[in-house]
Amino acid sequence: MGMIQVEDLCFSYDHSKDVLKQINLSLEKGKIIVLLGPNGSGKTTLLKCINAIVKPTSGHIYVNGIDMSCMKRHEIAQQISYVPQDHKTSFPYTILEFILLGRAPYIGIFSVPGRKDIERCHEVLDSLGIRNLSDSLYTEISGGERKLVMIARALSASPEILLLDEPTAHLDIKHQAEVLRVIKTLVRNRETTVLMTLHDPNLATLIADRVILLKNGRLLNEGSAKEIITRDNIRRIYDCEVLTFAYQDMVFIYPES
Amino acid sequence: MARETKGIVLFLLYASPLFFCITSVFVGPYSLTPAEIVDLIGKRIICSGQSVTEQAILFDIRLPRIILALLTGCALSASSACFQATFRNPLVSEYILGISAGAAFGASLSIATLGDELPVQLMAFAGGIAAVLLTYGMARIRGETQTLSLVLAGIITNAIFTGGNYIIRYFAEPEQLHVLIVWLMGSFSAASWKDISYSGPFIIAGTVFLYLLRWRLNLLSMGDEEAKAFGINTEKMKIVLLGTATLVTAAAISVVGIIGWIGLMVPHIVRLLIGSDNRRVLPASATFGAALMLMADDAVRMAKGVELPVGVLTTIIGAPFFAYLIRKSRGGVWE
Amino acid sequence: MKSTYRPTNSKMFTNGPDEHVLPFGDSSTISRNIKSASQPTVNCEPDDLSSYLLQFYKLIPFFIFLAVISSAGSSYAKCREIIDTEGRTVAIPENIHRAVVLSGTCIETIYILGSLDRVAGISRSIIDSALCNFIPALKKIPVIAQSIRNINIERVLALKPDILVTMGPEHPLGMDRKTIKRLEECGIPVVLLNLESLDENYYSIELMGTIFGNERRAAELISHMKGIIGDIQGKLKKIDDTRRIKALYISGARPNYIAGGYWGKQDIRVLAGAHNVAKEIKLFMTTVSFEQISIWNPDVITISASAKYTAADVINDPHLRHINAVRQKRVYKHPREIAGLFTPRVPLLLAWHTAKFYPELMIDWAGITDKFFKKFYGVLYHGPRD
Repeated sequence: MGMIQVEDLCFSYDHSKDVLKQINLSLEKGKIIVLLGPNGSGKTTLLKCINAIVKPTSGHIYVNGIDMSCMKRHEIAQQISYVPQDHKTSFPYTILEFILLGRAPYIGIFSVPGRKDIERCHEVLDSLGIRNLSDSLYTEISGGERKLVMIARALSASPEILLLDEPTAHLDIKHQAEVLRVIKTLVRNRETTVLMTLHDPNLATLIADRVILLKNGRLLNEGSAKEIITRDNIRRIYDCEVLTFAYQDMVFIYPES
Repeated sequence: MARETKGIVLFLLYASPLFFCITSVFVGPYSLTPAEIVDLIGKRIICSGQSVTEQAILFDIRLPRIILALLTGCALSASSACFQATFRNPLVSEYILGISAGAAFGASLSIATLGDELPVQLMAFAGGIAAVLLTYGMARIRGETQTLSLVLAGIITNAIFTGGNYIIRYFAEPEQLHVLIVWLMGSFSAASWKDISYSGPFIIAGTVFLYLLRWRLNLLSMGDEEAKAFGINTEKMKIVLLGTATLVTAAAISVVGIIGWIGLMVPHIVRLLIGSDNRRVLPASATFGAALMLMADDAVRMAKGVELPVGVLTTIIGAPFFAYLIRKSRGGVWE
Repeated sequence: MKSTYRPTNSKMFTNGPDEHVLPFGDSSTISRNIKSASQPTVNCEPDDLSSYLLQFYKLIPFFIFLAVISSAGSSYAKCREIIDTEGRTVAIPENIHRAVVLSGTCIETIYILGSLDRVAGISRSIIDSALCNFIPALKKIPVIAQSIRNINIERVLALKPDILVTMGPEHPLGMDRKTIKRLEECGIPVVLLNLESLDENYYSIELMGTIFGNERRAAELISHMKGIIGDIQGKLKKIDDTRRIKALYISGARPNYIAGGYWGKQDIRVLAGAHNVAKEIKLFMTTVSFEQISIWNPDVITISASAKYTAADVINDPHLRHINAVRQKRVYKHPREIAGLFTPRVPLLLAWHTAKFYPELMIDWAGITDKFFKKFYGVLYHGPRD
C-alpha cells in the first residue's frame, strides 16, 4: 500500500511542447521523496498528474497497483492528498470550515460533513498544534499558519500519499522548520508516503529519503540525498557553481560567489 | 460574532419570509381591515359564501402576488449564491451568463409580434435558456469550462442578445415598445395563480436541489484544481449547479420580468451576518431573499394609483445600499 | 400671384353657441391659427383690351425676374400659402403631384378624396396597420420611412416630393422640430396635421381637400361625419350625470395596463358620454395594480385593438371577476377596422362607444359603419357586428 508507480509519463498542454517526457519513477511507502529542479522543469506538472488534476498525454500511473485511469476521482482522492503552493482565497471561511473540505472524498454528493468528519478535523488540528485557530478566518491568519492549515486540510482525508508543492515557499525559518517537522512526524507515525517539490536542495538534504532530479521535463537522476546533491549535478540542473561542505553525514551546498 | 448570536441571526433569517408573508396580507391600496381579513380567511376555510370583491382582492390579487414575490426572491438569491460560489467571486450575479439579455430578447419577440400564439412567458424562458446554452457552448474548450472563459462568453452573449433586442425595438410600434419596457423592469402587479403554477415547481424543485448540494459549493469555491484534488468532477458539478441555477432564474424572470440587485445583495448581506459557509449561506439567502423581495413589493404595492415596477425600486435602493455594504466590509476582505 | 387659404367655416372656431356641441375641446389653438393668417388679396380686373395688353408689357420685367429666380430653385415656384394645425404658415405648390405622407390618419382622408395616386411615398407603420385591409392600394405605394420619427431624409429627397405631410412635435408621436427644419432646408414644405381633436380633424380634412384640389369631396366627408356625431350627441343629451357610466380603457399585454387621464385634447370615452375612472392619472398609458382597478370598479371596459388579449380573456381573468364590468360582461374590444383615433372614421368609433355605453339609446353603429364604408371606402365593412 501507499505505492505509486509512474510509467513512461508524457504530458503537454496543447500538443506542441512536451512538458514532461518519459518519466519513470516509483514511490515507496513511508518514504519522503523530494523533487528538485529549476523553474519550469515540470515539477508542479508532475505532481498534478499524479494527483489526477491533469491527465497525462501518454503513460500510466499506478496507485497501489491499480491504473489511475480506471479509478474514480473520489477513490483517488481518498488515497492521495495535495497541498498546492498558493491558494487564492475568495471567501473568508473559518479554519474549521476550510479543513472540513478535505473530507470531501468521504462525503456523499448530497450530504454535508457529519460529526465523524468534524472530529477527524479536530484531531488533525490538535496534531498540528493549531486547534486555537479553528474559529478564525482564513484571511486573518499569517502566511505560516495558512500553510499549516493547508496541510491540515490535506491530512483530514487521512491520505496514504501526500503531495506537496513547495511547502516551504514564502515562509520564515521558524515556519519552514515547523512544516518539515510536521511532515517528518507524519511519515514516522503513519507511514505516509510523501512526494514534494522543494526549491532549496539543502532542505532536501535534511529531510529526504530519496531525491529525484528533473530538468526540462526529463528525469535526470535519482538516489539518496548524499548521492544526488553534488557539485556536478547542481551545475547540470541549476546551471550554477556551488561549493559543498559536510556536516555529520550530510552534505550542504552554498553558491560560489 | 459570538456563536449564540449567530444562531439567533440564522434563525431570524430562516423565519423572515413567514413573518413578512403574514404582515403583507394586510398591505394594499384597497382598504381591508385586519378583522375583515381574518374573517375572510376563516370563511374561506369553511367555504361559506361572502362578498365577491373582498374575496377576490385577498385570494386572487394579494395572495398570489405575495407567493410569487417569495418564490422570485428565493429563486434569484439562491441561484446568485450558487453562481458566486462557482465563479469564486462575490460580485457575480445570477445574470452573468447572459440569461437576462436572452429572456429580454424572447419577451421582445413575443410582445412585438402581432399574434398571441407565442406567450411572453414561454418566449422569455426559452430565450434565457438559449442564451446560457450559447455561453456555455462558447466557453467549453477541450471538454472543460474555465471561469474566465465563462465570464467572457457571458459578456459576448449579453452583447449578441442585446443587439437583437435593439433591432426588435427599432421596428416595434410605440405602444408595444412601452409594454416591453414595462415588462423588462420587472413587476408583480399581474401575479396570478397560473403564473405560480408555471414557475413554482421549477423554483421549488431547483432550490431544494441546490440546497442538497450546498456543501459542494464550498468545494467548488476553492477553484478547479483544488476541487479536482478533492475528488470532485468539476465539470459535471458545474453543469449541474449552473444548469439548476439557470433553470430557477429563468422560471422566475420569465413570469415576472427582470428584477436586479436582489440576487446580488442578499448573499452578501447573509455572509456579513453569518459567515461564508454555504451550508448556511445558501438556505439563508433563499429565505431572506424571499422576505426582501416581498418587502420591496409591499413598498410598491402600498401606492395608490400608479404603481412603480418593483425592479425600479430594487435598482434605485439596491445599488447605493450595495455600495454601503462594500464599504462596510472594507472592500478588501475578498480578493 | 399668391392667395392665402383660410377655412370657409370659420364660425366653427369661436367659443360661441354652435350646432356642434363640444363637451371638451380646446379651440383656442385653432382660433390662434386664424388670427395670425394674413388677409386674402384681391385680383385686379382690367377694363379693356389695350389696358390689358399695356399691363402685360409692364409685367415683362417681372416675368423675366420670375424666370431667373425659378431656375435658381423650386422654392420660388410656390403659389399657395396654407396654415397647418400647429399654426405654421407653409408655402406649397398649387398642384400637388408627389406627396409624401407619413401619418396614417391623413392617408385615409387622401384616399377618400380620391387623390391616392398623388402620394409618392408612405411610412412602414402605415403598411403595417389595419388600413391595408380596406385600402389595398396602399400596398403599392413605395415605403420610404420606418415611421414618423424614423425617416431617412435622403430617401425622402430621392422621391423629389412637393410636400410632406406628417404629425408635428405638439403630438406625442409626431416629428421633431430639427427634422422638420432639415426637410424644409432641403426644399420640401412640411405640413403638420395633428389630429388630436374633432376640430383639428375637420380642419385637416378641409385643408387636405384644398391641397389636393377636391374641396367638394372633403366637404361631403365633413358633413357626413358631423351628421353622425351631431346625431349621437343629441341623443347623449338625455343622459344626465347620475346615469353616467364609469369606463376604463385597457391595452398592452396584461389587463392592468390602462389609459390615464391624458388622451390628447379629447377623450373619446368622454365624448361618448362616459366618465374615465382613471382621469386623475396624468399619464398616457401606465400599469396599475388590480387592487386599484377594484377600487375604481368601472361599469364598462373597452380594450384597444392592439391589446394582446381578448374580451373573453378579461372576463375570465380571476383578478377582475368581481369588477362591475366583468360581472355584467360589459367588456368590449375595439374592432380593428374602426380603431384608431381622429381619423375620418372617428364617428364610427364614437358610435361604437356610445352603443356599448348606453345600449338604451339604440345606436345602430354597425349600420352607420356599413354606410360609411360603402360611401367613402367603396368596400364592405367586414368586422364584428355585435
